Amino acid sequence: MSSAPIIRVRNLTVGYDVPLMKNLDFDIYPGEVFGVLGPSGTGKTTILRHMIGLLPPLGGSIEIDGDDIVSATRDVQQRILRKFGVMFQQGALFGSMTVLENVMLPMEEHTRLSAHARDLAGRLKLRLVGLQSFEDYLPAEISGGMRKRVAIARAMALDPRIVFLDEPSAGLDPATSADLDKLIRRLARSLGITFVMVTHEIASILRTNHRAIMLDKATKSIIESGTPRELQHSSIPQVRRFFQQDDGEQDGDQMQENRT
Amino acid sequence: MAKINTTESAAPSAVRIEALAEADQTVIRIVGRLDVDTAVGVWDVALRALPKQGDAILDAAELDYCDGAGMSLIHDMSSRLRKSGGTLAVRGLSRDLQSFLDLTHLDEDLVVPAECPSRRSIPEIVGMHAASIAQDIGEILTYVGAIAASLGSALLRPHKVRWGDMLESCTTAGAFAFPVVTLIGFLLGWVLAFSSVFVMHDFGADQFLAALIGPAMVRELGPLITCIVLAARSGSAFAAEIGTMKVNEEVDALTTMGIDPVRFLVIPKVLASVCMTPLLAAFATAAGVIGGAVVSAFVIGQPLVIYTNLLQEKVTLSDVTLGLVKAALFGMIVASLGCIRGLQTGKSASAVGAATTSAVVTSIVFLAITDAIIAVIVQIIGV
Repeated sequence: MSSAPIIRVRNLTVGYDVPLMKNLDFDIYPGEVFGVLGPSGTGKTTILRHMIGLLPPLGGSIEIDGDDIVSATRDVQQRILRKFGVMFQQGALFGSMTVLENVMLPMEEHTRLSAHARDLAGRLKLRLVGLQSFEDYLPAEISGGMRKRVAIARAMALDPRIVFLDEPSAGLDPATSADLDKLIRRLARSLGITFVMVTHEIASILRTNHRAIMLDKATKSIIESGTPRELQHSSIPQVRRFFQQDDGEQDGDQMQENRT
Repeated sequence: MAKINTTESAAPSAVRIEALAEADQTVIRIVGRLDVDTAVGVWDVALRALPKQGDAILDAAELDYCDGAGMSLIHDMSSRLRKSGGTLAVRGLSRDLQSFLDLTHLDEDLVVPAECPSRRSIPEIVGMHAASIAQDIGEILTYVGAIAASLGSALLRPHKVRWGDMLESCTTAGAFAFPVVTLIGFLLGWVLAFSSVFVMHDFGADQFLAALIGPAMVRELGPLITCIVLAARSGSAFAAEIGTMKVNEEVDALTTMGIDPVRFLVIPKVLASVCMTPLLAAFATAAGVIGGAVVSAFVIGQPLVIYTNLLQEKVTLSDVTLGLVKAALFGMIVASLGCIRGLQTGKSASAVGAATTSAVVTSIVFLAITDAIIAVIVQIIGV
């Protein structure tokens, strides 16, 4: 990871009207699968919304491939939007369009490809996520895991350098979630796409992430960063405990001790 | 140890409260099942058994079962005692119930905040509502600006408009509305004629029925009733459709794909409404005029030619133009407000319902206001 970072976050104050996180600094490098981790309510999704330009942060800058999305004018923002795709938590596919039409929509809006070329390119993207022969289904007719795959295919429609994923494992059973993780890892490796994912799913983090940052609600800051293995064996007890979520009973006892 | 009082609740219940004096201390014994059904009956009994001051012991050795309601009673006893400076010690609890009680922290008061009555004065409440209405109007104006800008750029670059979506909206908001709009137009003309013709008859003016029905339907009622139906049928549908997309993050997805939601979702619907409402209004008006003719011919039995001749004389081209232009304007208002309410939807399923309701209500209010303004303008310029 010696190359220049593709996303550079500086001094970011996260929040809608009250700050959830303060003065965050982190870099994301090309080709890595980067995780933003933390328990519910820490502001992970809000950070994502800042990064994809849906919600202006309370302060700081987010440089995506050299352009700051926070201070960008409308035209610059349009240019930045072309550099990334987003997979929303439930897929956010358009219900009145078929799977293929969903994937072709960004091409239809932003390219001069002919209808035939769009059709081919759309089918190719669906093949990349393993959904050939589902082109003509409506989003309501396929499973939740498939919808997320279509959403990834749509996010990759314009061959972006970065794909943002909001809670990829949310609402999926462990096996489907594992398949999706495998897909993410494979796309990152073979296409060189940078994935930025927001999640609290330990198994998914360990399977996919190259590096991750861990957010802490109390200090409103990043308390640890590194590879998932490093986080797992962190010297900070909170981080270690986050990675041992299955140890519920012990956790409960600890709470009890803390009170008395 | 002397038994000083034994109370059983009047209702046949599976729980019994006994208050005993043991050495200097009050011991309250609960026997049986203390659950959501039985706790109600013994609640007051248990509280009365508490000493006025000092400590008490709750003997739960024979308490077989206790649920959340039972625990609430124990908490109530404990906190009342604490208020008078004493403590409630619990003994003899089974292991399971003890761990349940531990989880609820008997030593800490459960704070039930008193229902705070609204302390706002009437002027403050009025002011708050006024401010929220002002804010709402400001938001609507912002969207109206965005829609106008988008419409402008749609005219400059027609290939950017989603004509397919527009045609679909024309079908659902226009063609499918034809039967209901025509029926209501006919009935409106019929009722108007029927309720006025007898009064007119008294003054010997029944042959002037067309002079009432014609201009009224063409200039006012035809466009207005069409757009009220449009608000109920399509304005609500637009709000619900866009609102659901908002809740499902589909609107966010459009934004991150660099697709302007106003251009993508709103413009086709607004264009469809602007194109379809004059047509619908024309049908509604024609049906209303026919309704009047039916009354004229069959209720008062005068030759149809009287009605049609007067109609030709009283309804001018400028009346028709005014009616159609009004219909197009109203259609734009209804579709825009429906879409705006959809885009303003919050993040829950109930927010979609609220958006739908508000789309219809706001549309009808704005229709009435616009109609009044147009009436004044028309009077001034003398159309």
